[in-house]
Amino acid sequence: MLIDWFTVVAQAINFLVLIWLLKHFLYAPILSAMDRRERSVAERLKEADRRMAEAKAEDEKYREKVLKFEQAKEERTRLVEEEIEKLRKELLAEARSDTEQSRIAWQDALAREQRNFMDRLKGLVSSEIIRILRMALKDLTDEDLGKALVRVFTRRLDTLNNKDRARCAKMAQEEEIRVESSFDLEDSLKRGLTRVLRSVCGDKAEVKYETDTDMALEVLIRIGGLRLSWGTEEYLDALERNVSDVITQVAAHTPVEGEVG
Amino acid sequence: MEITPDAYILWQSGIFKINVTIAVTWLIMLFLFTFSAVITRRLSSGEHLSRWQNLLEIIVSGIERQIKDAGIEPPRDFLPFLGTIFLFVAISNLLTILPGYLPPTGSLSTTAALAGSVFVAVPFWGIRQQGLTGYLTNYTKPSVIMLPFNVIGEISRTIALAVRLFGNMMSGTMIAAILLSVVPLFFPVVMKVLGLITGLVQAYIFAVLASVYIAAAVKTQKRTERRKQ
Repeated sequence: MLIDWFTVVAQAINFLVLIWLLKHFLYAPILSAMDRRERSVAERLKEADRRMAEAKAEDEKYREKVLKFEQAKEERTRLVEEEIEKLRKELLAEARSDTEQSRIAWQDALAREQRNFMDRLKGLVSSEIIRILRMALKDLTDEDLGKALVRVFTRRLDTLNNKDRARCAKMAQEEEIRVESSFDLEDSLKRGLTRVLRSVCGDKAEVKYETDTDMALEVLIRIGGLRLSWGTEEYLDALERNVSDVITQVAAHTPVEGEVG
Repeated sequence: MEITPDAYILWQSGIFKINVTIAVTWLIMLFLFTFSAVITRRLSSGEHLSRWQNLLEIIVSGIERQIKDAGIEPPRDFLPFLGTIFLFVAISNLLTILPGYLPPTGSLSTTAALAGSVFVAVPFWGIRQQGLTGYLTNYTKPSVIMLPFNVIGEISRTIALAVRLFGNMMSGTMIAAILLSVVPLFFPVVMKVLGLITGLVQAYIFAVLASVYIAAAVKTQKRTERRKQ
């Protein structure tokens, strides 16, 4: 007989016992350990995911910060550059203005200096020329320059045309006639001049004589707003103009120390 | 020469006896118990685990996966029963590599006991899931005429389960013994290797068939539930 029923029963019991033994000593502990590990791995994965998300968020935050910082830096750099450019332009304009003012002041000073020099030169030259002329005329012709000048002036007044005479007469009605000279006129000269003036301006015209030693060799007649002069003033003015031109030309070719380009 | 280890009786008192089948079964039980108990005494649930724990985890999770693949849910409820069938049959068969070893699965008494366990387990779980009436009505499906055929099929598959394993293991042992007397060198070694493969395949077949039978009983219930929903 191939089947022994006692053995069958015994093996069935053995099998049930083995099931119980393996259930408690193999399957349960192994499955429990696997479950614990799975839970642990799942938790760690979850934690890793959470940290990854955090890291991504942090990364994003820092990227944003860096971007903002870059933008702020660029903006600040732009502002600084604009400020610098503005300051540069201001300083340049200020420097140009200062230079222009210095140049104007220098030119004013130069012109003033030139005028002073010309005035002094004119006075010096006129007095010297007049002195030489007087001396030359006296020595050569035994004639006084002032007298000769008055005589010629008197003669020229006497030959005034009618239009000028009418203007003089009109002005003399309102104001007195003033005769200014750089030297004292002798009475004979005054009388001659008064006579001619009255023939021009009318018999009742008042004639007043004044002496101004600062004047060049000249006789100046003022009838209201009219001026009639006879003397060296115009020659001296022409001389002054010529000398001034020469000085200007010389100055233009001479470099001036401290001049701003 | 005996074809079943039941014939080798070590101790007997009345109807109680200890034959080689029972004694070897006990030794295998002792081996499995000791092996499991020693390794599972210090289990790690962390990253580092011993290679023996790793081996056991592979075996247990592999069996669990197979049960799940058979369509049984939840697999853990059926793991002790089906897993033990596989492990016991596999160890019994693999130990044939030892000289003079007589596998308990080469005894029709053992395979009958295992097949009988499956024969009991299938209606046990079926009734637990569907109730007695629900389970029994399965035998009348698709028609009452099928009742005797279903009952015969139930019994015949149990017998087939027992005899298939017994026949394979017994024949393997017998062939090895016969060849040993005819061609004592080399050829028996090849047959032993073949016997190991056959033994493992038989263990797998036995466990898978048991799974399929149980799955059929449990799935019927599941289908019914789904239909109700």
